[in-house]
Amino acid sequence: MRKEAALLRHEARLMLSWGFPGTLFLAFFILAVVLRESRTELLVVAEGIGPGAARLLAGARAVRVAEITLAPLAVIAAGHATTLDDEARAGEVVRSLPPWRPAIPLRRLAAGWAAFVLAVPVVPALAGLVTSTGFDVAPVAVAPLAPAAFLTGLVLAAATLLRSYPAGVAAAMAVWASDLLRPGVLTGPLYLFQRGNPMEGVDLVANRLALGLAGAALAAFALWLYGRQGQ
Amino acid sequence: MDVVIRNVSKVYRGGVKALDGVSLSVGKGMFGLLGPNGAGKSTLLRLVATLDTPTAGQVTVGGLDCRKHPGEVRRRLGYLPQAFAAFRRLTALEFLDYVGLLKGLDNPRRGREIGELVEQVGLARAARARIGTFSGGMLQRLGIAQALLGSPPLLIVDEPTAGLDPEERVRFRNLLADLGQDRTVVLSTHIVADVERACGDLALLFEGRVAFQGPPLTLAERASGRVWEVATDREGYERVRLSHQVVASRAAADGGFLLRVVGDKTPPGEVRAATPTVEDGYLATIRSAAVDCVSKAAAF
Repeated sequence: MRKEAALLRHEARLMLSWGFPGTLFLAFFILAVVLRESRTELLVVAEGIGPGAARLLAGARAVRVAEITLAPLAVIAAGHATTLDDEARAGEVVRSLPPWRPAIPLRRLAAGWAAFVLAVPVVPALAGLVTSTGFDVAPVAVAPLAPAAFLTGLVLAAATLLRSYPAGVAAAMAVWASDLLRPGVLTGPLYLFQRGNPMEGVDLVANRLALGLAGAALAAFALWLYGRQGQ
Repeated sequence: MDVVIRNVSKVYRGGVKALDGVSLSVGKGMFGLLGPNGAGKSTLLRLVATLDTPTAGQVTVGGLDCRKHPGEVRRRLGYLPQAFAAFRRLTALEFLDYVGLLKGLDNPRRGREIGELVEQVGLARAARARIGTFSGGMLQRLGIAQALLGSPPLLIVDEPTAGLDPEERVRFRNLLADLGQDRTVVLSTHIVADVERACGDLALLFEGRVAFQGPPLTLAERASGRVWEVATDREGYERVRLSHQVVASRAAADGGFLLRVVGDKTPPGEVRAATPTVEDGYLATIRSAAVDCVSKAAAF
């Protein structure tokens, strides 16, 4: 157990670059600006309907912004789990070590996702505090998880297949950008963002589950492929 | 820890044949793998290190088939690849701790071994520095330290002295020779002097085949009667160069040249037979193997 914790600590150190806090801050900044710009509207709603309605409106707006800005954070935190060794030109050394090969990127994925899941609630909590908009943080923190899982799986699969992290990021961000500009056109029932109800008749819960499962399947494929590379 | 390579061939996609029916047996001590660039040395070492599988034939380490029991084989070996690199963000101590954990070493033993190894490879003062700040020599020493973690009975080192300055090279070679006292060390290099001074046994690979296996002195004897020192002028130099392998040349006081050459016939000019060295034997063997290849290709 102690060994596993020490390994996770090393993997987290290897996985998290300055891009992680940088993206986290950017996500916070965008959310804070959006909420600040909505203040007049929220005040009108609060005075007209009530403070509860204003909180709901702020929360809904925060969900939409958070899932767009925070989902890519998972790509940065966990996306290079399978390509980290080759990026450092240490692939041959790591692959010559005794552990079952897929265990190494799996541990990296766990470390990266743990950091992501722990960091995500900080953004809406801080943004709400700074802008004095008292919305419920939990739904905002949960919203980016499904698109993040899908994007993580996608970046891992593409990066492992092409043996290039930048290529994997390009593939994942192309899907992200496509869904941002033309929701659901490229992804169909696997649409990433809740806004605009892009697919008539596709239940949101089913979509979130499908995103998570597709992300897990893509990640499993990437780990399997990693295990076979260099043999 | 015996390494046995039986009739191994490796053909890459596109039909490039890197190894062609290689058979070798390596026991305890230091074993040198010599050959020019592209001879198949790194491919052979990658097969032993379970990083690749042969197209045909079998590689066993301590009786374990590398294809069937890769995990078990990896537990018994330390590997320093050609152009070793590590995670630049970590310090040497952190990297060694990481490798030690992946090798399954428990805490007290891991810490003790890392402490001893950084001393042994001369990295104690830089142990807390980031790997990104290391020179080529320091990086190679870190590479050998990670390979030695867990005291594996088999050590595989691929071109470890390439790019090192002469002092670093000698130091590294001596370190490997020390390590070869109680384990099997396979050293791949194209630097003949490294093998001559450190290895009791060697194999010479040429175009994916074993051109020689035996002690360095036996390799030197292969050039017996085929090494000459020649004093000649510029015109003679050009003639000798066409028919012989020039091992060394230097300008003479009279404006001519003093050459050391290897070849099957006595060269023209003022000639004196010379005592062959391992390098002469290496060149003579490569020359013969190359002639064989050309003859076979012509016959085909």
